[in-house]
Amino acid sequence: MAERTAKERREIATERPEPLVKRLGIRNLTKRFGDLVALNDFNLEVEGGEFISLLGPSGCGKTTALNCLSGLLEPDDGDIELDGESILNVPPERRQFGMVFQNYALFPHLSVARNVSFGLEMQRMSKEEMRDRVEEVLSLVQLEEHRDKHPAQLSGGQQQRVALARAVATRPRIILMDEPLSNLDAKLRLEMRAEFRRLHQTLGLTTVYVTHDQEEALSLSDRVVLMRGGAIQQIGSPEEAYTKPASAYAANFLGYRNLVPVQVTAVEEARARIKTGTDVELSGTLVDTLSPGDEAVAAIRPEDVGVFPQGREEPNVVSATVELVEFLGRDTELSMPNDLGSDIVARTTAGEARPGSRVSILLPPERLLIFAKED
Amino acid sequence: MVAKQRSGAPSLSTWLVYATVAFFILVVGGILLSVLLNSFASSWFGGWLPDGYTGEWYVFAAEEFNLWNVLVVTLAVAAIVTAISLAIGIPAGYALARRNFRGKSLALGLLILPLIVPPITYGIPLATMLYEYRLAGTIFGVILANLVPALPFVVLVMTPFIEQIDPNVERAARMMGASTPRMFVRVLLPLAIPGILAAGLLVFVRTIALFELTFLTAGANTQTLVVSLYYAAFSSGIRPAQSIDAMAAIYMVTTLVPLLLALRYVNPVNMVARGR
Amino acid sequence: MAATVKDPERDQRPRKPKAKSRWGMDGSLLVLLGPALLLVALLFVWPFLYGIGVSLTPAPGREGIFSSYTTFFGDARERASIWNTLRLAVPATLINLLLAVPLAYRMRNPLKGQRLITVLFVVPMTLGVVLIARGMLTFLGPGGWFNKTLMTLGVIGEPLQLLNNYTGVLISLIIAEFPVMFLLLLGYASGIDPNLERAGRMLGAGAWQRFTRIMLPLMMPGIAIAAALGFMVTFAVFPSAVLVGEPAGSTRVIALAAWQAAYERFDYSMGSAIAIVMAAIELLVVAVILFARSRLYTGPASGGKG
Repeated sequence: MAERTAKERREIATERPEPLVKRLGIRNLTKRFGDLVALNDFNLEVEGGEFISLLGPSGCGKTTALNCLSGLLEPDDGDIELDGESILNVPPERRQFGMVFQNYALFPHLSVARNVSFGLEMQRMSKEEMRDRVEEVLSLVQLEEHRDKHPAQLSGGQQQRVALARAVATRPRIILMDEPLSNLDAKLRLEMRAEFRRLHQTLGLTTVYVTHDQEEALSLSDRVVLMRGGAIQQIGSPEEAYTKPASAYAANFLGYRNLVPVQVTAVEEARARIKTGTDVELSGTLVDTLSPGDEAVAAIRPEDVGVFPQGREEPNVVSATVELVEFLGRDTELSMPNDLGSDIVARTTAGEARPGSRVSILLPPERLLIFAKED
Repeated sequence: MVAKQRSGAPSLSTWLVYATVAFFILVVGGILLSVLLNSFASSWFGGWLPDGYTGEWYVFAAEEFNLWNVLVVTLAVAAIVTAISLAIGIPAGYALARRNFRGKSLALGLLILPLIVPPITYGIPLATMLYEYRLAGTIFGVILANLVPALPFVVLVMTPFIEQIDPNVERAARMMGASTPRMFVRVLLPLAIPGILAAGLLVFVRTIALFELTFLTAGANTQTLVVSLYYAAFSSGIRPAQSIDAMAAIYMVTTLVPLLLALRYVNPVNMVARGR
Repeated sequence: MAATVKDPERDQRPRKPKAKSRWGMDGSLLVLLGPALLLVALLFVWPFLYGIGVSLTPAPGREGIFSSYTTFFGDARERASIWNTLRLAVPATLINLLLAVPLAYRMRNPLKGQRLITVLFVVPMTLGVVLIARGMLTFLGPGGWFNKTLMTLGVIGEPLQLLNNYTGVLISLIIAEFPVMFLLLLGYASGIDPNLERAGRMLGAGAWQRFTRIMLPLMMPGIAIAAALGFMVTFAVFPSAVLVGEPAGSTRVIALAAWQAAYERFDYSMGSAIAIVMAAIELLVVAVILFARSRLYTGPASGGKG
C-alpha cells in the first residue's frame, strides 16, 4: 500500500468545500465522577475539515470527552475554544454541533422527514427552505423514498442514515459521532464506513468520531487519538499509528497481537539485540529508549510474520509448529507455539499449512518493535 | 480558564415542583398526625394540641367496636385471600409468561378487567348474587368477594416477574433430568421468591385496605377494619371522636406495617404500573 | 394390592413432547391457567351478567323490562347523581393530571430523593380514602391545623369550609388518587430513552420545546391511560362522598344511589341497574379517551435499535 499523508489524501479529493470552522481547541479538559477520573488533562487541537477519531477501550474517556465537547457534560476543569472563542459556557442547544448517537435516538413519533427537519424548525427556517434542504439531505443519504416512514419501519442501516441526515441538515460547525456503527452487523458496518468517508469528502465537515474499533478508526480518520485511562496515549495519522505505535499498550490495541516479553542485551542506535525468556536471540527496532539489561516487550503484527517451510536458518527465524489454522478467505491465520515462549499468530496468504506441520517463522527486525515494559 | 457552573441555581419550575411535593406531603402528614394525636387526646377543643393525653380511648374503642373480633376477621380474610390468590395466581402467571396460545390476549384481558373496573361497579351485582346463594354476610362471602381483584393482581405481578427468569434455566434443569414438578420446586420457585414475596405482601395490604367489596358483602360480625371504621365514622355524632380515631390509628398501623415490609422488595413505581 | 414398581430408567428416557392441539394448548395449560380463569369467570363475569339480568327484571310495583332504567332516568334526583359524580370525577382527574404530568417529567431522571418521595406517596394511596376522609375531619375542620395555620399566617380571616361539601370530597379524591397517577406517569416517563432529549438539545431545542415537541407526545399513551384509570376510580367515589361530603345533596354520587337502592330500599333491580349505568358511563368515557389518544402518536418510546 503506497503510503500517503493526510494532507495528500485531502488534496486528492479536491472538491471538498471550505470547512465551517478553522480550529477547535480542547485545553486541559478534566472530568471526575466521584473518585474516578474519567478525563485527565485532555489536550487536542483539531483542524477545520479534519476527521479525527478518539479510539480506545471502554472506560478510556473517549465518550466523556465527546460529551464534554457536545456540552451535554460539564467538565470540572479546562476549556474548549472554537476559532479562538471559548464555548465552554455555551449550552449544547446553542453550540450548533451535530451529533449522531450510538442508538440513533430518532424521534419515534415523527416521520423521517420530520426527524430531519427538526433542527431546521428550531432554526425557524421557512417552510420552502426546509422542504428543499430536507430533500437535499435525504438524497445525500439515499433515503428519499422513505421520507414519510417512521423510524420503526426502517432497518438498522436506514435508521443510521436518518440519524446522520438529521445531524448534518442544520449545517453544523462540527459533527460528533458516538460509536455510530457498533449496532450494525459486519457487512453493514463496512458499507456505512464507505458512506461516512464519502460524506466527509463531499461535505468537508469537521468530525470527531468515537470508536473502540481500530480498523474503523484507521480507515476513516485523518488523525487517530488513542486514549487510555482518561489520557491520550498517541496522536497521529492512521499510517503512523499502524506502523509506529508509541507504546506496548498502543501496539496491542492497534493490532500487534504478538507480544513477547524480552530482555535487552545490546543497543545500537535504533536497533537492539534482545533475548527471550527461552534464551532465543533476536534483533528488533527500538521505539522506547532502552539500555541493556532492561525488561521489554517485543511486538509484531500477524501480517508481518513470514511463514516458510521448515529449515530456514537466518537471524530472526525460529522453528514453530502449526497448532491452529483459521481459514479467512484470502488469508489464513496460523497460531504457532514455538521456541520463543509465547505462541505467535501469523497471517499469510500461503495456503498449505496444516495443524502439526513444522515451519520456520521469520520476524523481520524492522517490523519487530521493542517497547518498554509497562505495569 | 476554569469551567464555570453553567447550570446555576435551580430554576423556578424546580422550586415549584418541590413546593408542590412538600405541600402534598405536609397535608397528608398533617392528616395522619391529627388522627394519631386525637386518638391519644383526653380532649381537644380547638387548640394547637390536645388538652391532655390518655390511652383510654383505645380501650374504649376495643370494647365499643369489638375491635379484637374485627382485627381477627381482617387478618384472617387477608391471609386466606392472599394464600388462595398466590396458589392460583402463580401457576397462572407461569402459564402466561411461558406459553403462547390462541386466545392469550383474551385470557389476559379477562384477568385485567377486575383490576380496572371499580369494585363498586361489579360489587353490587356480586353482592346481590351472593345474597341469592345465602353467602352474603358470611366470612366465606367476604373472602370470595375479595378474591376478585386479588387474584388478577397476583397474576399481573408474577407474569412479568417470571418472564424475567431466563427460560434456559428451566431447560437446563430438564436436560439434566429433572421432571416438571421437581424443576418447579427446586429451580423455579427459589428464583421466583422475591416476586412471590412482593406479590403476597402487596395483595395482603390491598385486601386490608379494600373498602367497597367488603362493605357490600360483610355482615355485622364479618366486617374488616376499614369497614368498621367507616361505620364508626359515619356515626360520629354518637360516639366520641377520639375513639373513632383510635380505631383509625389501629387501621393505619395494620396497613402500614406489611406495606413497609413490601416496599423493601418492590419499587413503588412498579406497584402502580402493574395494575391497581 | 399390587405394589408399584419404580422404574429407575423411566426418568432417563427422553420424554415424548405432550401433544399440543392446534391452538397450542395442552393439558398442563388447563391445569395452570384454568383455575384462575374459572374464578374470574364465576365471580366477575357471571355476577355481571346476572346483574344485567336482575336489572332487567322489574321490581314489584313496576312494569316493563326496562322499568328500572326508566325509573332511574325519570327521577330528577336519581338522574342528578350522574351529574354530581361527573362534577367530582372530571375536575379531580384533570387536576391530578395537571399536577402529575409536570411532576413526573421533572423527576424522570433518578434523583436523590426519588425513592423517598415515591415511598411517601405510596402511603396515602395505600391507606385509602376512608382513612383520609376520617383524618380530614380533624385536620381540615374549622379548628384543625390547616385552618389555624392559614389564619395565624394571616392568609385568611375565617376558617375555610372544607368539609361536608363538594370541596371536601374533591380534596379527598385528589389526596387518594394523585399519587397513583404520579407513579404511573413517572414509570412511563422514565421509560422514554433519555438520548431523545439529548438529541433534541443538540438540534437546538430549548427546554420548553423539548417538553412540548418530544416528551409530551411520547408520554401521551401514558397520559391517556392515567386519565382513563383516574376517571374510573374517581367516578366510583363512595365513602368520602358520605364522610366529608353532602351525601343528601350535592355529593349524592351514583355509587351512593346504587347502594341506597339495593341496601336501603332492597330494590335489587334498581341497584343493579344503576351499577350497570355506572359501568356504561365509565366505558364510554374511557373509549372517548382512548379514541382521542389513537389520533395522536402510538408506538415505542425509543428511537431505534440499541
